[in-house]
Amino acid sequence: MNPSPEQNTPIDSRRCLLKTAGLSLTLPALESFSPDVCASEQATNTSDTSLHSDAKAKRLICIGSNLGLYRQSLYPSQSGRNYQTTPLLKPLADHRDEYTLFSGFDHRAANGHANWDNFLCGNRVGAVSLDQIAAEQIGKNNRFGSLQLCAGDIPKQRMVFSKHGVPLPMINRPSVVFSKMFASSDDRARTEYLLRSGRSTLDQLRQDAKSLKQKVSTSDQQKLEEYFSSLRELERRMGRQLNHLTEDAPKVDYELPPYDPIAPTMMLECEQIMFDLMALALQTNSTRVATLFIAGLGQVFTLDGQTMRAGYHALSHHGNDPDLIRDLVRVETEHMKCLSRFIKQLKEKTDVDGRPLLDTTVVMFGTGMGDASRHSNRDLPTIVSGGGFQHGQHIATDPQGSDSRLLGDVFISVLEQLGIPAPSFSNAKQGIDDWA
Amino acid sequence: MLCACAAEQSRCVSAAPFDASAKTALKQYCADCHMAGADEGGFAIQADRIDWSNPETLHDWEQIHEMVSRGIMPPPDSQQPSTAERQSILKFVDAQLIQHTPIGGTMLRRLNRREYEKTIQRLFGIKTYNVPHGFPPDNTAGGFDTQASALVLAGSHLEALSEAATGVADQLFPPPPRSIEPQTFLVPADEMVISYSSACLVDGAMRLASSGDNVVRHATWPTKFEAPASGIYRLKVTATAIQPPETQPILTIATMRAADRGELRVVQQFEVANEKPQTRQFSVSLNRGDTVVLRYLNGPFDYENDMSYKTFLTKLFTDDPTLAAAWAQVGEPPRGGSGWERVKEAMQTAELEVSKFVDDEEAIAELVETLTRNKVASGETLVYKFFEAGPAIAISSMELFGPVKSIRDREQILSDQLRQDFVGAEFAPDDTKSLRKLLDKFLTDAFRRPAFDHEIRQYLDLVNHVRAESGSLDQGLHLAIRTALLSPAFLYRGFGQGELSSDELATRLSYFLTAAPPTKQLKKAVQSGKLQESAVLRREAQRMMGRSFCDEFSTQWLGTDEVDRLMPDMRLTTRFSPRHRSTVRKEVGETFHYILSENLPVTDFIDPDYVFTDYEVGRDIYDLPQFKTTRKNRPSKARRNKMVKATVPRGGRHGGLLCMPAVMMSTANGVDTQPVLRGVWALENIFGSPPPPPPDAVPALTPDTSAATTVRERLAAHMSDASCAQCHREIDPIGFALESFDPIGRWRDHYPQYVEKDGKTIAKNGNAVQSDGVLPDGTPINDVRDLKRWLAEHPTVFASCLSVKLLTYATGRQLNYRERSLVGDIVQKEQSEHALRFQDLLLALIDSPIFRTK
Repeated sequence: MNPSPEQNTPIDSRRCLLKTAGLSLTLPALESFSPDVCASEQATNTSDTSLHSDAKAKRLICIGSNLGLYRQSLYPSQSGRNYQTTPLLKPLADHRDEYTLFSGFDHRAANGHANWDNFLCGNRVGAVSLDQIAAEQIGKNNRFGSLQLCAGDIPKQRMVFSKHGVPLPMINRPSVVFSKMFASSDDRARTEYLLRSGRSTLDQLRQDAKSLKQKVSTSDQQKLEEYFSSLRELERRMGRQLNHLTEDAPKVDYELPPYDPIAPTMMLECEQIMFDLMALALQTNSTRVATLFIAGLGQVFTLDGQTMRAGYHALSHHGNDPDLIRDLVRVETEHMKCLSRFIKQLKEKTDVDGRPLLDTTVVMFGTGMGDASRHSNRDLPTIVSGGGFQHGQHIATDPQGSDSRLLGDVFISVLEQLGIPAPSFSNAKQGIDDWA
Repeated sequence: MLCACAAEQSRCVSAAPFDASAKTALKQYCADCHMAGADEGGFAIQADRIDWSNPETLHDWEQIHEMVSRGIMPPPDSQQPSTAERQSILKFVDAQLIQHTPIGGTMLRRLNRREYEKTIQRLFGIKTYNVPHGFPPDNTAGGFDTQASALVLAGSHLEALSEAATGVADQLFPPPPRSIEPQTFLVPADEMVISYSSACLVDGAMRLASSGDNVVRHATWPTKFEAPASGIYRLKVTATAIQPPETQPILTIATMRAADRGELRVVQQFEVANEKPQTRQFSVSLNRGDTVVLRYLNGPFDYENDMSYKTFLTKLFTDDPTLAAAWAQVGEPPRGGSGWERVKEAMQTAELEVSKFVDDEEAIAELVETLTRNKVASGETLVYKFFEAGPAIAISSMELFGPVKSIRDREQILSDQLRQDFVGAEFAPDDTKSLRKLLDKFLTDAFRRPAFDHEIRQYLDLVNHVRAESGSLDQGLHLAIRTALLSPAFLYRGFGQGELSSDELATRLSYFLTAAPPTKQLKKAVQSGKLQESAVLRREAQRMMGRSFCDEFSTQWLGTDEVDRLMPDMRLTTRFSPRHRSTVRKEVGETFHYILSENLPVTDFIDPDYVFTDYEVGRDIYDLPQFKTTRKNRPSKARRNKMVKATVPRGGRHGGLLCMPAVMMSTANGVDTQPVLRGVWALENIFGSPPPPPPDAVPALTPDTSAATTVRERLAAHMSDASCAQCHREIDPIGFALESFDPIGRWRDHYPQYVEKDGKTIAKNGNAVQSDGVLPDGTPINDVRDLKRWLAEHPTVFASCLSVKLLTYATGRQLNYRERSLVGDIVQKEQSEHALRFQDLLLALIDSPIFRTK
């Protein structure tokens, strides 16, 4: 045998090497093991939010479509401001000056289903996602640091990753989202009981850990520090939720349907409701960061009374068949209509200063897959609206070109617009010029 | 107290006397870069007054030993020590490390997700407990999910654990259900689900035309109904049979959970009458969240099953050659209704070659074969024919009314049982002694050690407090469970120091072999006070070595769960199904279990005379003669995926980890192979000498077989660079030998070369695979067979590697220098006494101070 020191490190960084070759995907960043992370976590949690008060944007919404958008019906042939509108952009016509279309941008990651998940992570699946970077900075004084929603079946895909590389769960029932934010009194009583009783036991747990701490070794004491700091965080979270519970839940004039649209064919209806709920969440300042995943399975939609002749998933594998593409674009047009309606709502709803929400809200609609027909992760079509950017343009880059830009460049600009310094994002090192 | 002893000892030996010749050598060859203020690469050697009690010092000297022994340091372009000088350094470092390194040192370990689930299952008797959706997955280190360093606890973990604990408490003591007024739910035909091609709306009714088990492909259900409460509902269904065949269509009514389309429970089956819609009415019992599913039970059109689909298509095309000709003309129609429109259009065209399919069995058989090959795609299209013309069942509407009577649903019945088991038969709710006894038992089980008096008092107070406030004992126990499940005593293990106590030893053994807390039987051994005795420990361990351990450990060790995530290149093979995937994974655990349970020599992992496989993998991947399909031996469906032990010659290209498809797949990416990755994998997992990480900015190599340069030529560049060569002379020959296996583990003599021909991609033989090389010890090898022979002739290399992996997984820590050297001793002893039989070896490892120390 050939004993070697530091076995851990070579193996793990080897895994990283395998990972970049499209192999091992399970191992999160080594940084997440280091105790420094916990320290910096605390620092950010207690830091002053006024730091970001003069930022141009204060809120972030990210929407990810599992099957992407059919680029041939989305991309204009011209870039710049004088582009001709396209079938998929038509529903957004009223907002032409309030959005920017990006074409040719991606993360330079490998192809395949598994890499859909890097949509908000950059080049590596499992790195902290864009929205969570933002949530840590701008979301900590709201009832919910962030919300993760899903229209359709809860997917195998994951879209949102915490800084520890933990994928965050999504909610696909509008009624659950609604009662979370605007709970009925029954639900509130139960939630309040669970929070209060749970919090009342935290002291006992802390005492238990303290008495154990006296008996264990130094390295175990460090391990217990993780426990103490998690306990503090849990306590803060519980307190935050309790504070908001005892305040009156915001009253909103919105009626959910009497059923939850969780049946596969109801996905588009669910999508629209989830967009509405995100607008309500921003309006009531319940959260500043939310994500929505739009699923894509075999459900057959009925649009304007006409039933599609194949399931959504089969449509996406169109193999360039014109009939399938026509129906695919019809379904995708529905996504665009939802987005357009959402942008309209954010223009109408105002923040505390009476300004339209859209002015200070970055809305990004994108995908982790450029061409679902071929499972290609090149060229991820992305639409960004609101947030005070120089909109009204089509910014194009050649994905094959040697000087092509990265989707991470867009993310850098988004973060900076939110007042979050971002010298780099994943493999990207620069923002988009003349856009902020 | 081995650990404390060793630590004590090292503290006493201050400033160990430096061996003079070693010191001279170190100063001569290392000082320029690493001593007296120089710290190239961030590494400085402290050669005077060495503080061996400092863990960092030990770590640094382990690294020095590694670099010098591998010949990486001093760097090749600088002056090299003589062999004797090198030896003097190594001898000194080795002696010091062995003397000063303590055994043990696992940090507190949080239960990982697997362990948490099994712990809850055992603690409360919840047989199918799973953590809630979205529970954070665990980090791993060195590929294992049991490592203390990687099992961090972040705020999000504790939050998820708190939710999980509430879920568990709710299962035993559920909150009272809400009462709900009965109401009517009308379900018109257009408010029923169409999933893939499962149903179709025709003339205002939802039609079902295909049969099969898959709910999302052959059923419909209301889009807007979920039972708001558990109870009896009155259900009306109005349906008609469309063009029924001889057997009258039967409609199946079943219930299922709407949210995740869980298991179906059939409630009614009845024949549907022709012509006029008829309404049937019955009562169904629904759990909250259930919906009602409708299926065509006995439809003739079933595209899920190869055999019946073939028979059906053959008759269909024989009776209707026009359809056959039209389908053939369209080729591969798009999935779904538009594809069927395309076929119908073709049926109208004049130039259709109908005659080709009239009474021509061969032409029809060929067409049937094409459709069956992608049966789901063709079925999703062809089903539209039957939606239009029948046989089909048309459902005009459904109506539900309820709940007319509430029922105790599955969950409530289960809860009552769980509660009963938790409090026990003799529980007297108003007797404090009885409550105290209950909490004592619960906390002792939960904390895996006797509960302390003050703990029992605390929980007793807690329960009594809630009970006084709410008037409910159950509410108090609910909170006690939630609290205990968040307690560090439950979430972590390994609080003691030094040699493990009986309780801790039982816990380590049990989680190592079963991922669960100790069973009653193991606890008995603890109570007898004899578990620490070698014979008792070995006997208990032997009893607990089951298949689940074999599967779990071998998967994590070899990284073979990658197999599930890989998509083999379609140009490489069209013969690769989920069944192949599942079989190649099973092979690993099956082989491991066989060697362990039969107590065979560990060399059987390298060069056995058998493989475990099934017919399909045996034929398509191993290409073994005994699995060749002939007309006579075409296996039945049941036999096709049955694991069998197939004999292969020893020393051949089959058998052993290095020839296993799951391993060859996991070390490739589904498309091509990279010799460096496989070489590194083998060094880590078979040879036990992982090379240090490569320098930054060296891209991984992918063989570009279409170009003239071969992967070998490009790797040769490494060998000419002295700093690369040191490691690549170890990596490359192994990687090259494994190049004989393609990305799905089939033997190959040539790399494939893909050429486009008539719009199709064809694979041709490209460059020949060059699998020969020279091992670092000078042994020339021709291919993987020689590599296997070398390993079989040097069995302690692999045995040590496997032992280190096993102990790493078991103890939750990376073994240190002294522990690895101890493993070497154990392996030597096992070789001379038990011919390295695997079970004996594993028991010796469990019985070693490495396992027995915290």
